[in-house]
Amino acid sequence: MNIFSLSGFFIALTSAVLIVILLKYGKSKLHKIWSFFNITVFIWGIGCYLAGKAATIETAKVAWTIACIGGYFIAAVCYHTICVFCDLQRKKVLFLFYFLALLFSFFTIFYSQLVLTNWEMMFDSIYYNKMTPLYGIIFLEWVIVVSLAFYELAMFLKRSTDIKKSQSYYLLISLMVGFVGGGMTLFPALGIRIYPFTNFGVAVYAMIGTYAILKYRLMDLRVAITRFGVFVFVYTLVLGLPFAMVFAYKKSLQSFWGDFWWILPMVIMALFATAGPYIYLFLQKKAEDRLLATQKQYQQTLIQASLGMNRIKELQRLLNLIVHIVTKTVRIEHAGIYLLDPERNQYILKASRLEKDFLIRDKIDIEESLIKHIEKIEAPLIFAEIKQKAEDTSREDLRRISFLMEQMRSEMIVPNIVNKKMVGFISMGKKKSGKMYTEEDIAVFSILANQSALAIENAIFYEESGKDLAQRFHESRLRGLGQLSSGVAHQIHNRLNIISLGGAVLIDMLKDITSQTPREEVDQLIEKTKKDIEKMVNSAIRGEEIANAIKNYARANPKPQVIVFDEILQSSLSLVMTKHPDFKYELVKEYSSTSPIWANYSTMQDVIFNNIDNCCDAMKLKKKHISEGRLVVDNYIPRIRIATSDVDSNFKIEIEDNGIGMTTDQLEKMFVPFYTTKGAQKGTGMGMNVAYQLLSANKGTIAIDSVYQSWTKVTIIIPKATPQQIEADKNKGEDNGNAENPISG
Amino acid sequence: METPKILLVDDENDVVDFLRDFLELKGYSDVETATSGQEALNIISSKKPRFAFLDIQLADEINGIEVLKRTRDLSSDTKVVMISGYRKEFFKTALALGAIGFIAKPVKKNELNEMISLLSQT
Repeated sequence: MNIFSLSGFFIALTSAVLIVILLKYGKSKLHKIWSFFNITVFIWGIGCYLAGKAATIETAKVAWTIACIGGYFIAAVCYHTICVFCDLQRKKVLFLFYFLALLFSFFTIFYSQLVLTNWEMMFDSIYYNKMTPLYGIIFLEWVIVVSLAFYELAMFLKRSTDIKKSQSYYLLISLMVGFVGGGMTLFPALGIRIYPFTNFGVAVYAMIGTYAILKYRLMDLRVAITRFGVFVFVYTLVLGLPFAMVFAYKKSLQSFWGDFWWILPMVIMALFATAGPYIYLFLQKKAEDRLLATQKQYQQTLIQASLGMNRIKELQRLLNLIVHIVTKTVRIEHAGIYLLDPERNQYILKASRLEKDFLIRDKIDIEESLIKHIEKIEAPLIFAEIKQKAEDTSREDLRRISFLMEQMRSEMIVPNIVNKKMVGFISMGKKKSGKMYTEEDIAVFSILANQSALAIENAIFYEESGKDLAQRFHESRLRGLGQLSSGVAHQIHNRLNIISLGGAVLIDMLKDITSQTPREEVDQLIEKTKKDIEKMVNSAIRGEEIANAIKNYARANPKPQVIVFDEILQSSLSLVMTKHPDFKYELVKEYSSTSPIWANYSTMQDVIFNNIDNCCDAMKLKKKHISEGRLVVDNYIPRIRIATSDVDSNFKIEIEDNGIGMTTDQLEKMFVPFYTTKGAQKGTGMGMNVAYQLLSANKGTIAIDSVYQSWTKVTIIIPKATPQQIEADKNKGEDNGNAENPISG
Repeated sequence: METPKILLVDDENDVVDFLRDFLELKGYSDVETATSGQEALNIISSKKPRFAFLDIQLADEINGIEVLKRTRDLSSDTKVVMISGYRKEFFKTALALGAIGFIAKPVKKNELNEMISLLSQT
């Protein structure tokens, strides 16, 4: 085997490896055309290998025919590859080049005397043909095609940026080495006597290409190539060593082992074959660990981040965290997260992290081509690529996107998509290192974006339901006030009526008193006047109590404070009185504990008032059922029992009535929002659900138990105030002159 | 002089107390009081008062208007005067149902005088 033959062998080997990888792992159009290109190189390599070995003119002719056909197509496919790589539309030119390659192949096979003729042994080892006119034309055409391919690639290299620039640079270098090397192989046929060493350049091309693939993701096949490389290395060793042993030491083995000389190589082969997979896996893991070090680090960050994200239910905190993760994981200058505002039809910057004083576009209309584009591709958008495409195609939408991204200082936009809906997107600025975004970055951010999309959706849901709770609380209080208002008006009216009536009666009574009025009568009148004035004062006090209860009810103080339960109960009873002014019931207080509790005053008042209100409704209904004969109870006396006790660090309140009770079905639905047992007119269905949610917010619980037609018991558990809280509350009260105490208001 | 029997109905005890005091002071000694609708109906039915002063909102499910309606059957001679803070809302209804007068709450000197003039009309 001469050196030329060896170069052919290497070319065939390297291109074969590339072909296998590309066919196995390649997916894109570029992968396909690149593998096709390598097939033509492979054919060239085989041709060269055979030509180098050819001992006769006949075999040399066959060998060179193979090499030439490979060569013709190398040029055409190379041009095609570059068109695909640079995204160029050159259909007609490509058609022409392929046609010429076919035509020349036809002539080479069937009219070889016009192409491959006048054979001469050169360099004492290789048969070369001498140039014919057609051979000259073919060579010229080949040079033109290849030059054109290089020209296109060079132009692309000039205008491309970032990763595409590096990729095209390596592609150009590798192809140049390959083509110059391969092209010079034909020099002897043109009369230039240079030994075709340069043919190794074709093999070098594959190496450079592979390097570019590994380093610059020329084909996104880093991992594939590494795996394949490890595989080839291990199995060459496993299978090659025993064979080498056989070839090198067969005689010695025979002399030593006789007829059983093959046992040792077989045993070694068996051992190696057994160990092979383990070595393969070990090496592969090592190689991938190295290759995927960044990716694994990212994955770690991601796992932690997603754990953290799912825990956060507060939208703003979540958005800040996402931006933090994004900026810190990849060390970028700035990042921002835009969320869809469905009411304004805009994506609005909700959180951002700026390292420098950047101008940021904080609103993007949903009609913008940027949004349309992201929605369409559902994948990260790279500024460099968009800019490139915009320049290449002069498409107005791409220009607009490029302009917007520039305004946003965005190098990459990753959409947050849940169920095909883009809830928002993350915009990322330049890396601090100045490096471009790698495939790993893009993959990681895609996952992060999708994870965060879910978390964002959840947080929005929580926020809305939270907002809803606040709203519902507010609304239920307003509704409560509405329901109370007529009762309150009547009560206040009655108080005023007593005062004014009492005053009028007293004036009338006292107007006739003169110095002649008998002493006894005067004394009687004074006594009566005293009593009447007492009634009037009491009435005024009662009116004030009602006014206070209403005032406290209307004034929702969001902060928790130290509360004495009985005060809450009294003010709640005042409210109940305005709603059920004439309903008489027995109130039984069983206080085992008077510990102060730590809760929101309005919340507690609301909960207690709602529950006693429910008790009254239940007892009124029972009374009605009894009066209508639907229920038989002897001497029914409506009764509410209110009991308190300590349970560890909590305060337990039991509110029990002997009203109509609830059925099992009603009990089950008790905490369902909008569920009411009172009919649409009376109940809003908010009471228990709101009570449940409000108490949860106060670290409390509420449970309900009931027996239909007999009783209902509500058990509320709420934390007791700690000594520190009591102390702090006292100080605050002193500082504010007790302004915070709703009872004194 | 025999004074007419008068019934005072209001859900507030203090109110009926004051009114009774006032009427007694004016010489009307035969005064009955009630705080609930049922109580009022019982008295109207059994004692047939000459006058009944009815508040609209009472201590039970039977309100003043209901009492007014039933008074015609129970005691056709009883003259009913409504006392209410609701003013015009019930005024027409009350008159249509046969009430002879309407006294607005809160009761002041003028309203008291009106009561007396209503009593002395008949």
